[in-house]
Amino acid sequence: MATSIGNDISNTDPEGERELSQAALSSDLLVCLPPMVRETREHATAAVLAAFPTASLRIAVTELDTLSADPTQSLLVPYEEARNQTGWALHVTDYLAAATVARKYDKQHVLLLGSDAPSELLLQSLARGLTQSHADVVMPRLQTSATDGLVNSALLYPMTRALLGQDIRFPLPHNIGLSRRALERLASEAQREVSAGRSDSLLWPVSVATAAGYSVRQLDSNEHLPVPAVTDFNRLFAEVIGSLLADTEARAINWQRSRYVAPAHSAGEPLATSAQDPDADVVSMVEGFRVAYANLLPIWSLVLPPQSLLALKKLAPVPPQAFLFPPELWARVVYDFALAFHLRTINRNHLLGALTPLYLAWAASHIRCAAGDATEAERLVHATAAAFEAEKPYFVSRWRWPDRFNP
Amino acid sequence: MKKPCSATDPLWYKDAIIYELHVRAFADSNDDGIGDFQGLISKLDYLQDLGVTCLWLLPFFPSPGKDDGYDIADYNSVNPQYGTIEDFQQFLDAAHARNMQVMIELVINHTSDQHPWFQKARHAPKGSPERNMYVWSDTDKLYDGVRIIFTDTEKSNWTWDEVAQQYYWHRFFAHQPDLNFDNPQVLDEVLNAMRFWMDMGVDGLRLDAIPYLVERDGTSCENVPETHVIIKKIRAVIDAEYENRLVLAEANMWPDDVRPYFGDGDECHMAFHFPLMPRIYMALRQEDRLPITDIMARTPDIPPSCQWGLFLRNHDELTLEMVTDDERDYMNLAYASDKRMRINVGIRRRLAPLVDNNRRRIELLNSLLLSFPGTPIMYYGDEIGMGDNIYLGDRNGVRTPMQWNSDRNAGFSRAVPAMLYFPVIMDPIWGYQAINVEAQESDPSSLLQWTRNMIALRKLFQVFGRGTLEFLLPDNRKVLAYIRDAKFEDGHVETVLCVANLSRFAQPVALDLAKFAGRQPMEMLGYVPFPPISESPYPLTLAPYSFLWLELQQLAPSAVSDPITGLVEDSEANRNLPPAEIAQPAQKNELLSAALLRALEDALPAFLLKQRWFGAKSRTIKSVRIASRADIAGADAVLSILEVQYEEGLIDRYQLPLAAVSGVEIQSVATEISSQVILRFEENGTETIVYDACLNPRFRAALIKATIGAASSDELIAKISQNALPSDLLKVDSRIGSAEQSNTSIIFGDRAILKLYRRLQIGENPDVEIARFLTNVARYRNTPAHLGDIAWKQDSSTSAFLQKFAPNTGDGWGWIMEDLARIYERAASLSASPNEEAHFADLAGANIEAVRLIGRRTAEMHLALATPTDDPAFKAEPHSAGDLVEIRTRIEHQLLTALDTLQSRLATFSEEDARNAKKVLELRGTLNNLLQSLKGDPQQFGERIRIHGDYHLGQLLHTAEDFLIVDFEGEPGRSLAERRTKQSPLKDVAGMLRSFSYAANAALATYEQTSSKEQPLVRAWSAAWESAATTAFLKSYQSAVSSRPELMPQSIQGESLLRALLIEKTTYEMMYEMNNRPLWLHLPLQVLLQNLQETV
Repeated sequence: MATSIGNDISNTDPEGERELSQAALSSDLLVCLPPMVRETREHATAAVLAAFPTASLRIAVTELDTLSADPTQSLLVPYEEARNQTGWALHVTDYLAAATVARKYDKQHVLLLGSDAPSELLLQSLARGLTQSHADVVMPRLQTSATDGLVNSALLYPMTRALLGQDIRFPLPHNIGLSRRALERLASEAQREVSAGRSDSLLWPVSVATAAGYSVRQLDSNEHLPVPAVTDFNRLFAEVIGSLLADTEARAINWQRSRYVAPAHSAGEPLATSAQDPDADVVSMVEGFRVAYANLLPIWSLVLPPQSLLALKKLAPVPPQAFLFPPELWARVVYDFALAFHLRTINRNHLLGALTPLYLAWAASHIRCAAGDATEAERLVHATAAAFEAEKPYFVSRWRWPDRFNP
Repeated sequence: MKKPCSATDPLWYKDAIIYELHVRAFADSNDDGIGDFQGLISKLDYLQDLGVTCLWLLPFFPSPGKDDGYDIADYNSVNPQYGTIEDFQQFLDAAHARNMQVMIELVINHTSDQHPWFQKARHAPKGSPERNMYVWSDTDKLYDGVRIIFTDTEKSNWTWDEVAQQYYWHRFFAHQPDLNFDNPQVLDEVLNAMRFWMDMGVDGLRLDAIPYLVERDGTSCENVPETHVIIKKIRAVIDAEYENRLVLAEANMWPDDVRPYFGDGDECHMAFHFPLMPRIYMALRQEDRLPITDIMARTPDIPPSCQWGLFLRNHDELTLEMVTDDERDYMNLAYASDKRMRINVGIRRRLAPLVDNNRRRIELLNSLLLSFPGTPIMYYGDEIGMGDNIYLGDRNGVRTPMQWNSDRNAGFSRAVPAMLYFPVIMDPIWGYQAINVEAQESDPSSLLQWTRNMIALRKLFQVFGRGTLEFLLPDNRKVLAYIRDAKFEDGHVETVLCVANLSRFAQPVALDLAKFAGRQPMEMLGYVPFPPISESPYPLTLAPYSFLWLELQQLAPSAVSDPITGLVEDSEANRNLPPAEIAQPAQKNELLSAALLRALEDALPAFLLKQRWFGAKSRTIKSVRIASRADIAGADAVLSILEVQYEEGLIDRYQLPLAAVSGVEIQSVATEISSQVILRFEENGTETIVYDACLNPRFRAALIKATIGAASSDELIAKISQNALPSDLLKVDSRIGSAEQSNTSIIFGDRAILKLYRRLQIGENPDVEIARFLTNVARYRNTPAHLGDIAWKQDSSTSAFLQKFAPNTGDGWGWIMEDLARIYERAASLSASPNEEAHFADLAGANIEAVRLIGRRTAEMHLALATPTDDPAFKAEPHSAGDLVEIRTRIEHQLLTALDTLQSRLATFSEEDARNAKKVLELRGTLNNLLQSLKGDPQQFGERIRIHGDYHLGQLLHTAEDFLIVDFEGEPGRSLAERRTKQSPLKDVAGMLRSFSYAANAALATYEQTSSKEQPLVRAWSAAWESAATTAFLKSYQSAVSSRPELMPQSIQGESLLRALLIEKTTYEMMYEMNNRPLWLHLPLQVLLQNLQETV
């Protein structure tokens, strides 16, 4: 597995060549901004124009003020459909809206942004990934502290890496660069979701692109992981993991075919280590796990095999200061829940609810072991992902022959 | 605009799991004792969980119910017992919402006699359009001799109608009059009915009893050409008006006879493989794979867009029509010891009772069903191992209510039990208390759970629905082993090894998997890695009735590479494409960019393996290179030569015309070219589809224009026979012919046929060379005239051959088979002995007269080929001593090889074959006598000339009053040099005599399959006909050829040479039968024995 850091072209180009390069970057480019108030939008459009100073660029905005005297007005184009308002991750309506504009203005490369203040560097890196590396999907690797984005670290990243063979650190994007064909494919999937009355669904671009045989690239970014505005963690967890497991079910043919991890070709901004490490209540998370063990064991018994249940039994009395959720056990637990989701062993909402305390146990273990060190946290995340890879045959065999009579 | 289908993939049926059910039998929602659509809707979740993807509903239309709904009284409505049309629509929508397609029945051969059309017909005047909706006659002698299908109940295919004062025709029950497809109004009405259901959203139609649609006097009224015209019309309407719909043919016939129902992919998408089913049961009981491998060897290739429908059981009896008498007796003894278990020509039992409720046997048979090439069709209730009730009449014992739970009426209905349409099964073993869905859903080890898992597993691997089949033939015949292999458009390959133990005891086996050396078998159910494959035989031990599915995976790459960079590096470093062509795309072949060419070469192996004309399907292709390309003016296509390299190092050259379509144009041609797409390619955001240009009318027109224009380019040169060219050839439309297997025929109206050769060999093809000689030098009239041809300049290999179109009624084999069927049937019905001259002359006289004509035409062909000429390729030459040595060596080698093979396989033969084989082996010593007879003065052996080389009845075209001789290509398995060698014309004579022998026996076998017992009288007729035909042919041939006495050997030498050539031909046949059709081995064996005995 390799996540090499490539050259940052924007830092090495001579100034003269840079303008030429930027013009080339933006000649076929559409940048789609998220909904935002006018003042913020002016800042955002300024950033985009600074990144791509050319008249052939188009910037899609949700509320176009036709009477504005803004000199950039000629570059702005309207979204005809409403975009997702939640802001922390792209939803199906974002892809649909972007595809409509891309078709209308015949743009071959699209930057679909959730950030209302994208950096010039991020914009250029995304565009460069599309135009110079000819990737179909370009996704930023974001900055996190030891306790940021733990759902991603515990589930989204390891599942993506192990099942799809794609080492993409943040597979649920906030900002993304898409080739036209990748956008069309995503829009097609989005349309299916909307038709089924699921307009607030999430999409998994890495999964869609991998299934289509498209290339996916990751670039390093100094952007930070956006924080969802939702206060109900359980609901958010069920939404994201439910969507992930549904995607896993839908693409069973693809991930059972993938047998190794493709490199992600990181390139872009140099990594900066975050020093932020907010307090986390490890003790209460461990306590939550213990309570759940006492109450949810009958449900877990429907999902997990005896060996996993035994391991959880041994884990339950461990005090917070020594609490360690082994990554192999976590991988098997997640895989068994994914299988139960597929088999509809119990109501899916109840199932995801039963997974939540197990996730909190993993999170407590992770936070304790990382001890506020972002580098150590990252090492642990990779160890978790490696465990998911090692246990993939277990998952495949369980999926193919879901006999309850197993070890 | 075409109406969309619930499935988006046009080939969805290839990956489908079809579930057959009767609405009446599934679930009753209104407590009347009869299943209905609302009941079915309530069970859709169950079917979705089971994993089936397509529901096939038995007839649910208004009907008197005398044939379980196949007697339809109204095509456009729902039987009120089952619900309303709105209920059906609701069901359809609910199934689609669960991603399930729906197939219904289109019973168009006949209606119920209660149908308003028939009632009107009876009362309408003779000859009126209303009367002519059905088939009427004043006499019951019309179509005399056509077999009766329901022999238990019907005495004639005609029934007198008092009202109409005429007989009406019915192939099935008397209450099911046949519709008259000679009346165009019938087809219009059928199409209206079809549109009615398809407009609602029905995804597929099962065409019931289609071989019987059209009647023609003097035929068996089955499979007549006009029937195919009707089917093509139906298909054309479907393709024109609807997207992605399915037509499934019910034709209970041998695979060779079913093949025409696929047409060129323009008739039915699917057809049932009827003969496979009884042979699976036979193989299981006999613990011998041979019945299965034999029938699969006799299964022809079908167009790429088509698919076989496979099943273990269905709503009818387990049909034994497609087996021999011995096999039928065996099956009855093995599976239907109680006579109540039998009906018509079959066994009326369900799957589980057939195998004595043995779970392992059920699983084994299902593993075959799910892994054989085709789409599996499951019968309702078999997923839980439901039993049957042999005390119910007709085939109703397998149509009892579905067993849902252990409540009253098995949960099927809340009606009073006496109200049920049939009683539920109640005995202790099979009763609903023991076997039901609810119990099995809660039992994790139940058959239902197993079936769900297996269906889900099959759906993960498209190779099962789309891949090729190759049998491995280990020494242990109790083990059936085969490879399923497919390469898909996205480049991924799936290779699966399936191994099944047909025995009740554990079995060892060693498989030759050398060509997969280095691969890692991964057991597919548990994802368990097995030891890697090496060059050595791969040992496995199989538990009783067990099976293994092993995915043969390439070893995972040890290093991870950049998929983008890797692609560029790989393609630039490792390929040897001609630089000039790639560097200068604008100059030549503009439609193929360099990147496209590279992708094309990667896609070609998978494409080639799907083509009927690709002859090396059993080999593993290592690579395909586009070695040469030539523009055809005005074609928008290029003609290419592919170099196909196999793993073992051999190289073949194939010709493939390539056309490409991009962007918006794709939509307009997507349907037409879907069966021949080689590659879908995206470059710079534009999608391009490359396909076989034969589908492109512009290419076909350009090709014939280049031919008759005697055009020449850097790569190609065309030659013409000026005098023979029709004047208006360029004005007629073209189409692709369906008969040709190894090449592609393009038919230009009724004027000409252009054969595009597929496998190329260096040098001119003898077919073209001889036809040109016969047309321009010998002026021989009984072969279609040579009009022109195109050759590649680089090596003179023939690219295309244009011949005059010859109207005909079919080939000589088909003609003689029909004639013999008629002779045998009449002989049997009259109890006429062939030894009585008057009887023989009456029944077979005309046929023998035609055989005489064949003898004369054959002699005239040889005289024409011996036309004096200075052309060394054709000049007749006397035999030399060296020629005789060569003939002796060739025959000796062939005979010894065959005898050695015979010896080594003796243990595998039937008792009778083994007895004859031993006698043949005992006569090995007579070989010397045979070879001695080919010595002496070579001049006494007559002249050597160019001959036909592969002469048999199939190489004749039967016209109204004559025969034409075609296809001078020679035996395709031999080299071009061998085929161009001059030989004694007696070689062709020997070929035709053997063909007569095969025809007599094939017709006999066909006859005996349709009769219930052995027919000694018909056997006598078969022998008598073969003898008479042989004599008539030889006499006529000798008489006609006598005008050039030097051509023929002297009488003694002629007799010896002919016998030797017959032995040579027979040993070739023997090898073929041993390898492919062991059941036919007796035929060449007997003839060889007879000939060797004569040499003693």
